[in-house]
Formats: sequence, structure tokens, C-alpha cells
Amino acid sequence: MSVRTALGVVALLVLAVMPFVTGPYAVFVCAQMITLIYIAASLQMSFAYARILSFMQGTFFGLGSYVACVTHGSGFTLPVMLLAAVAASGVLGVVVGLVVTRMKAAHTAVICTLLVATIVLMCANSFVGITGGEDGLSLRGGSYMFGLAVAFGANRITYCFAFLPLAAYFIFVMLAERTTFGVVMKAVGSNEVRAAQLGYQVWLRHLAVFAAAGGMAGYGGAMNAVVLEHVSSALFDPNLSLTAVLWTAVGGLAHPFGALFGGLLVFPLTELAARAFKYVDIVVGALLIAAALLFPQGIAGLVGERRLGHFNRRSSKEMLAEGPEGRSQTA
Amino acid sequence: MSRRLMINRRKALQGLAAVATAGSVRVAAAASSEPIVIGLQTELTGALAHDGGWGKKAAEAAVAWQNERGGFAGRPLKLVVVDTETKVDVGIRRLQQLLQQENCDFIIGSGHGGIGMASVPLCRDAKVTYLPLARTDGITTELGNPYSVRIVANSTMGASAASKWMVDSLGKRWGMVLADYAFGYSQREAFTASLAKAGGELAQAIALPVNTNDPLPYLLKLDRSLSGIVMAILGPDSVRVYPALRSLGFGKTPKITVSCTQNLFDIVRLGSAVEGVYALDEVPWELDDYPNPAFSKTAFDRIGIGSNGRAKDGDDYVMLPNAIMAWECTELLRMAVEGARWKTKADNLSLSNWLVSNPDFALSEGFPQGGFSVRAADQQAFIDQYILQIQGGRMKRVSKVAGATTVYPSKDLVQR
Amino acid sequence: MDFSYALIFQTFNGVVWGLIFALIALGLSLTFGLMNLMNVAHASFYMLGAVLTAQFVTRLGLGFWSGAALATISVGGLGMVVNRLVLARVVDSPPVIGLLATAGLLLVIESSTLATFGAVPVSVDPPVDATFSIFGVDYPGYRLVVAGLAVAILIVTFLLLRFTRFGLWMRAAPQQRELALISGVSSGRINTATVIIGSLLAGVAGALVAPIAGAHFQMGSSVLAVAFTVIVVGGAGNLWGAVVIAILLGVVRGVAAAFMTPSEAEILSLVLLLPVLLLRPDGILAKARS
Repeated sequence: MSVRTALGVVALLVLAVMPFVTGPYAVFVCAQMITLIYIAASLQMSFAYARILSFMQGTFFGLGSYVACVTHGSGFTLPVMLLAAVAASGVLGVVVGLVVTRMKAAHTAVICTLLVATIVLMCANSFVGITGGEDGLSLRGGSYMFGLAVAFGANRITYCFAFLPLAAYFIFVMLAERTTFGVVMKAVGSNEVRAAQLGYQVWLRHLAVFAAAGGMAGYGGAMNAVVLEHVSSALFDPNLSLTAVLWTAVGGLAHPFGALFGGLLVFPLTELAARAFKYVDIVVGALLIAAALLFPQGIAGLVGERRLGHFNRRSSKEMLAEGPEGRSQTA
Repeated sequence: MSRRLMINRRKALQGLAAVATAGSVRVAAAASSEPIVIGLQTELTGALAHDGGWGKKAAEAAVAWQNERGGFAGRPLKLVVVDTETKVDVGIRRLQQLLQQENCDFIIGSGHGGIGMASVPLCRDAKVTYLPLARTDGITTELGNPYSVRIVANSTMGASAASKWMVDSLGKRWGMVLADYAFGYSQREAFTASLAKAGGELAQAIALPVNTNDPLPYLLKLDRSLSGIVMAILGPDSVRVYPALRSLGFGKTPKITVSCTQNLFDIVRLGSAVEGVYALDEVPWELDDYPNPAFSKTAFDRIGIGSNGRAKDGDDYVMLPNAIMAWECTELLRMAVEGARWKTKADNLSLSNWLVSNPDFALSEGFPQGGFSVRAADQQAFIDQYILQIQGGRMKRVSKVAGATTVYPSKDLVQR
Repeated sequence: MDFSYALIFQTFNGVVWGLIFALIALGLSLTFGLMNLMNVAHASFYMLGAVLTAQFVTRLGLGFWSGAALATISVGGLGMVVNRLVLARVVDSPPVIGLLATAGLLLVIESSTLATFGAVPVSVDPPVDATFSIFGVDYPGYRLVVAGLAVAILIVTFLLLRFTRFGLWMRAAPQQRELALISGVSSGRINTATVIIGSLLAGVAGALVAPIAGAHFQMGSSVLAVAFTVIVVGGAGNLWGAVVIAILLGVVRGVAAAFMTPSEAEILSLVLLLPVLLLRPDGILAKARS
């Protein structure tokens, strides 16, 4: 098992036991963090497998939140709320993806996602009748899941709804890494020319990944609405997407676990910093700069694919000699 | 090495979790010397940082003052301040911190409409009394419940206080420049109804996108025959809109700002662009304009406000309504705690029952703004409001509108 | 007001704003085109230009023009520092790294401004109080002065790039780094110059805008997406393109405002750019590569 995988498993285990060993405040904070990790994970997915550094993952998240809120208001149960949120953000992903995946220059795609995010934010603020604007809409009470009552807010049941699909995604990634599917996706993401020469439908795969990433962020958004019991146009603030970028950058953009590591490190860090220091965004910004300058491959990249046993015995000199990829000979 | 590292990591995570739980497992002791914990959910950073900062100063001053006078029923007060960063998601998280970790008995809530709307139901579920400084109608019209008590005036009350005076003194046909934002729309709705009721009309409304760089092209459509313009815009936009209106030739047209928006930026510093502008406010700005300046002086001195309504230190302007209202919230809590013989959070329901049965909270050092009573149906207080005007760079009192005239019908939202 | 007069007014005002935006976009376009760096922090240079001008004028009591000049120079100085500390270290990294580092810079500069000067929007009196009449509508004279200055600054920048040896190096270095090095041109110095010129342009745009739009620590984010879109659509290799698009955008927004609500006009002006992005998706980079 590689160090990265081990760390990932530990992180997931910690999150899994959280609601059973801590108090309600910690459960709330963790549940909120998990829903935000969906944005980071979807950003990482979009960047690593569709080559789009999307600044609109927060927009998918916000859309998912609103769809969940509106479907709840129309009397639908939780499964419908969640599916509708995923479907709506997935469809937006396809629409935007049709444009951005055709852009060969990475810059243009970034700008395009930023532009869409800006337009959506303006619409959300302006169409107060639908969105409630910055005052927002409340999700009150609870819902049903196949006849079972589910109370909204942060509790063990909603925590599971937030956590389990995310955990499933990470476990799937872990298992798929060495399968043909995993390798092809990686190739399509990292060397599209080569992948195209090998006969893979690069563009279509990029589109599918971007749409899936949108749906993923949408699911996180829906769960965010369920946990916070409130949605507002502030969800479409590009700052939310920027937060996701930060988490993923610190955690590592190249590997899916980057989003997990980044979220688990940065979120508690900023929470603690906020208690000691008023202008916490200075810390966040400095962290982002430090990540870009000092460890651009992020935590997931730093620990690389070193095997647990080998890592123990090797000196730092050996590790340096290995280069940033850190691929051991025995792997 | 790595295993040890990992164990350390796990330990660190457990430690973090332990820190996070510490607050929530604390047993609520009710010994008489145990401090009463008041939470202040406010904006210290982000767009509303200036306003929230004055709420914090005022709450700190009020708690210190109350503690010097013997606290609430002999029990000392402890104030816990959290920063919402002017973001709804952070505001909710900080509220949970106040509720579950700090174990607050009462919470003075954010001035941000969205944060207020999101917080009211959470406090209801936690059975913790919440006193919002947010003025969004919905807090007491849709979400009213026994655990939320609002003493600031909502948009409907503000519009009704202003409209009659506007129609009587300035004219019937009004226009409005509003922020294209939930806040602006609720003001438009409130003024459309209240102007019509007062015998006037809201003839035109222009919604400006928030943070638009240049309002000039949009203001071009303003009708030149209007009796006056209602201004329902936020701080950063205000500093663009007033000069733009003047350059379009609306300098002499009467303008009136809706409640609290004149406190979102240093309005008197806009000089000739704002000379003569009227403002609807919950409090007068200058000490001498208060109903009893001797009473108000305590709050002014303690909070750090000079008699001209500006900060004593430096020459900063003051978010006066939030400062004075945070001060009054504390006094309201003192009277209720002592009147209802409140002991623990479990008594919060009887506390609000006492609040609505107490006929009048009279003008005093603790209520410098004026007296009011709290309506039982929705626990909304009806305070006096003031029409002010900028005269020679100073915000002077022109007229006072009695709180009783702003009462509107309400459903019985609070079931006791 | 007569409809056609409104159109003329809107077109005129659109051109003025387009010129201001062109200043912002030009600086952005320089760092993008010459260093291949998407400098998100550019928006905070613009914001600082306005905030510092407002502070110099209101707190130090300086006149507007000296305040604006001092603010512009300060922003240029900050650009130099930021370049040494951050930008120079990411210029040869993949574009994503530059994007992350400058996004971090944006947060640091915005929050530091909030911490230092507070959240209060500050207004600045325009130094020129005269108005003049366009078909019966008074137009603020200061905006004309700004438009004139913007044109002058744009022309000077173009001349600098076109006719000086320095400009030649600046244009040549990114295309042939090794050749430039052999010829004794340090790409580091060229980059420093590019960043300083870029931040001066953003700073002066902010300073000039202060009397129109006021100064507030969050004002940068309102221009960011638009400025980036302008240079992408206009083309970084083609500096005139960015200027033309900036002016067009201003005119479209103003004219559309005559038919619909302000928010709809702003949304429309941005939505219209989407098909352009689709039809000419990689205009700029194709140009920079060739």
C-alpha cells in the first residue's frame, strides 16, 4: 500500500467515526466540510481528467443546493431531491462542457468558467422571486427516504448521506487506479494527443468528466442545503470556487486524494486561525502562495506513491534523488 | 519513522476532535454565580465589517456596563463574539459554535438579512433566544417564533414610517433607486404599499446591479417630474450613485435613504452631492437630538461615540442604529431575566412570555432610543423612527415618527 | 428624453468606460501575453490604485492629482515587490501554478487592505467639477479628462512597446528565451519591467476611477472576470484587440440599458461574449505560440 493510499484510508476512517465519537458541533462542522470537499473533489476531477481548471464548481454546488431546496418545497422526498440536484448540475455541466472542452487553450476554458460563474451570480442576485436573493430560502423540517423520516440539519443520518457517496468515490478511485479504465482516464487527462492517437475519444471523455464533476458538486450542494437548512445567492459567489481551488492546490491537483487531504488540512486550519486572527483570508492567501511556490504538487504529490515499508528505511537524500514523482523501483 | 508520523497524525486528529467536543459536553450549571453567556453573531470582516465592528463595540460596552451594575439578577455576564465574515455559510457555522460549543443563553444576531433568516430557525430548534439586528421582513413575518425577539424596525415598518411624512411634506410621486438584490426588492415592495396607503405612489423604480462600476447610464432613465427619490442602495454603490445623480441634474430633487443604508458609508463626507438628503433612521445621530440626551450620554460615552455622532477616537462614522440597538438588546435581556426570574436556558420560553406581557420598556439609560413594547403575535417591537436631514455636513433631526403608527397586522405566529 | 439622444449618450459613455477598462485589460494582457501568466492579482492592483488615492486625498489631504500619482507609483512599487517575491518564481511553471499563486496574492492584498483601511467605501471628489451638455444631458467633465488621459497612456504604452529597444526585448524575449539570453537580454529583467508596467496601468486605472466609482476593498473582483474576458476575446497577442473589445463591451451595455433593466443589460453584455469564446476559442494562445 502506498503512503498516499494509507493516508487516504486513514482520512476516510477518521471521517467515518466522527459522528459517533464527537458532539453535535463537531458533527456540524465536519458535515459542512464534507459537502465542501465535493467541490474540491469535483474540481480535481475536472482538472485532472478533463484538463479544465474550473472556476465554476461553486456554481454547480449552488445549483444543486437550490434544486434540492425547490424540489423539497414542491413536496418531493430526499432521493428525488438528491437525484434532481445531480441531474440539474450534470446538465449544466454538459452545456458548459460543450463549450469549454472544445477550447484548446487552458486559459480560455478557465476564463469561460469564470464568466459563466459571474453571469449565474448576477442572475441569482437579480431573480429574487425565484432564488430569494441574498436573504435566501429555508429548507424546513425534514424529508423521507423510502418511508424513513430524515430530519434536516447536521445529524448522523444526514452525515452519512453526505459522507458515504464521497467515500465511495474515493474508494472507487483507489480501486480503479490500476485498471484499464483508470489508466485510460489518466492518459486522456495528462496526454490527450497520445491518447487520441491510441484511438480514444478524448473530447467525449472530457465532456463526460466535466459533466460528472458538475453532478458531483451538485450532490455536495444538495447535501449542503440539507445540512445548513438554508440556501441563498451567496452560494454562487466565486469565492466558494476559489476555496475549492485552494483546498485542491494544497492537497494536490494531480491525484483525487488531493481534494480530501486539502480539505481535511485547510478547513480545520482556517477554523482555528479564525479564532486567533481576524483577517483569516490573509492566512488563506499566504497558504495558497506557499502551496504554489513550495509544493506545487500538493500533499498527494509529496507523499507520492512511496510504499509504506520503503519509506521507513530511506534517507531524505535517496528520496531527493528519486525526483518529484517519487516512483520507487519495486512498485 | 513514517509509522510514528502516522500515529502522531492520528493523535493530532483525535486531539482536534477532542477540542471540538470539549464545549458540547460541558454540563449546563445553573449556580447563581455562573455567568450568563450572551453570544454576538456579527460581521467583523467582509463587506459589512464596519457595521458589525460597531455592533461589537456596543455589545462589549453594554456588557461591561451591565456587569458594573451587578449583572443580570446578580449574575455576571460573559460575551462571546464570533465573526460571520459576512458570509451565510460561515454565519451559520459560527451560530452553531455559539449554540453548541459556547452554550450561549442568548444571542444577539447578525445585521445581515440572509444570515438572520438562516439563523432564526436554528435558534428556535435549539430553544435559545435570538435578537436579530437584521431588518428583513421575513424574520418576523414568516419565521416568527417564541425564541426570536426583534427590536429593530423591519422594512415594512421603515417604509410606513417614512411614507406618510414623505407624502405630507414633499409630494406624491416618488421614484426609487434600489439595489438589484433581495434587500432592494423588499424595500420596493414595502414602499409601493405604504406610499399608496399614504396617498402617494411609487411611480418608477430602477434596480442597479450590485457593485456596478458606473450607475450613470442606468440613472439616465429617471423621470424628471418626480417629487423625490427613495434611495435603497448599499454602501459601495452609494458613493457612486449620489455624485452621478447630481451630475444628471437631480441634485436638487429631494432624496430619502431607507433605514440604515445611510449608515453603510460615511455619507456626510460626500459633501455637496448629499447636502439636503433626508434619511430614515431608527436613532438620531447627534446626542442633542435624542429624546433625552442625558440618558443617551451613557451609551454614547461607553461605546465611544462623541456628541456629534462620530467616533471619539479618530473621525470614523458610526453605525449608530446597530450600536444603539445592540446596547438596548442587552438592557431588554436584563429586564426580562430579572422580571421572569430566569435561571437557565430552559426558562427561555417563559422569558419571552414575560417580554410580551410587559406593556412598555420606557425611555431610560438602557433604552436611549425611546420606549417600545413587544407584540405578542410575532415578537416584533415597534420603536420610534426618525426623519433626519443632512444640513451643512451634519445629520440633523427633522421629525420623529411614533412607533405606534407603524404597526401592521400580523398572523399569530407565536403559539404559546 | 428623446430615444436617439439616449443612444448617443450611452455610446459616448460606453467609449469612456471602454477606455478605462482598456487600461486595466492592457496591463493584464501584457503579463499574460509576454509572461504567459494569468495574473489574478491584477484586480487587486486596480483596487489598490483607487483605495490609496482615496486615502492619500482624504487622510493626508493631498490634492487629487498628486494623490493619484503617488498611488500609481506605490502600486508600481508593490508590483515590483510582488514580482520578486512571487511572480518571478512561478513564471516558468505550468500556468495553473501562476494562477494559484496570484489568486493567493489577491486574497492577501484584499484582506490586508481591509485590515489597514477598513471596509468603508470612500468617495473622492472629482478634480474637475465642470459638466458639459450632450443634447441636453449634462455629462461630467471629469470623465472626459479620464478618457483623454486613458488615450494618452494607451498611446504611450504602445509607442514604448513598438519603438524602444526595451519594447523590442519585451516582445522578443517570450518568443525566443534562449536567443534573448544569448543576446544579453535577461528575461528576468524583462519580466520585472512587464510586471511594473502592468501594475502601473492597473494602478492608474484605479486612481482615475476613484472619483467615479469610489474606493472599496472589494471593487477589484467586479472587474476581474470582465477584464480577463476582454483580453481573451480581444487577444493577448493583439493589444489593440483588447482595447476594441473593452470599448465595444461598454457601448453594448450602455445601449442595452436603454431597452432593459440594468442587470439584464450587464448579463446580456457578458452572455454575448460566450459565442465569441466558442467560435474563437484559442485565439490568443495560438497567436502567442506561433
